[in-house]
Amino acid sequence: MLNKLQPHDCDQVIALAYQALDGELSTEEMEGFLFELNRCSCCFNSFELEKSFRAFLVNRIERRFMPDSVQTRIRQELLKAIQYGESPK
Amino acid sequence: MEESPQISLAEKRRRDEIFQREFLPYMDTLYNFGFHLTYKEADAQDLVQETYLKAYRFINSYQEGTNAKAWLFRILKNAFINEYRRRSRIPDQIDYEEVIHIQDGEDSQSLGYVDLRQEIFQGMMGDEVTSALNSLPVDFRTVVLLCDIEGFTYEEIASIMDIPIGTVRSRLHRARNMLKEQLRAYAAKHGFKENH
Repeated sequence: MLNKLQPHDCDQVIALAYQALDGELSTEEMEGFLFELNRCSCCFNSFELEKSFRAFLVNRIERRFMPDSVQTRIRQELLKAIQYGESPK
Repeated sequence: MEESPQISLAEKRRRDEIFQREFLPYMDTLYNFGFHLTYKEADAQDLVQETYLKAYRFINSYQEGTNAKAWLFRILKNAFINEYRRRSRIPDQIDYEEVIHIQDGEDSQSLGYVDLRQEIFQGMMGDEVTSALNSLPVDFRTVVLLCDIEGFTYEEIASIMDIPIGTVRSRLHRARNMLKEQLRAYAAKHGFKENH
């Protein structure tokens, strides 16, 4: 956990960058993180780059959709299976 | 709890309704996950179908109105592991963990993009990113997909993958750094320059 009374430590701040972007820091932790980020241009720039890399990644990874015909076929097969064959254990 | 082999018609109707209302809407998103695990459309379709059949069979262990998406993803992930371990197409994950641990050394806190600049990665196409992702060992690819593409929390990922939250965190860290390394190597090979 970052402490505003301690000297700035780039490694400590950067180690939290992924969790900050993943929304995994508590409000208090996030506040400490942002405070440290604004104290150091090196950390700030690293975090900005990381943010744009993340956005790039999410935009560029191809999202596959199941073709409608396949979706219809699987739905029919499933409904048939649960109607006649499969029963919950 | 022991159940009688015969369930009432009303109970069956209730379960069928949960299946259709809470499970079936995730067909596309399960397919996308299955596709990125296998990179084969037919295999991804089979995984989706198998996931739903298992989900119905074990619907008693699902609590109505809880996290259906995470529950279904967990079933699909297990189906994938069983099928692919059976076909011996992927070694046990422990092998990856050991290899990566050795490669990573003490560098696990860095963001790992020493010379991956914004100008370089923004010039890349989706295919290149997809193949970089594809090149990651499956356990590492999976955490990136679950976190960045599907938006699951670390806690949900831990439950889907059957690993502790600390392992989710460290695996994501390594996976993202490996991904950047792949993209950096790709950029170098194809002559992307920082000054573009």
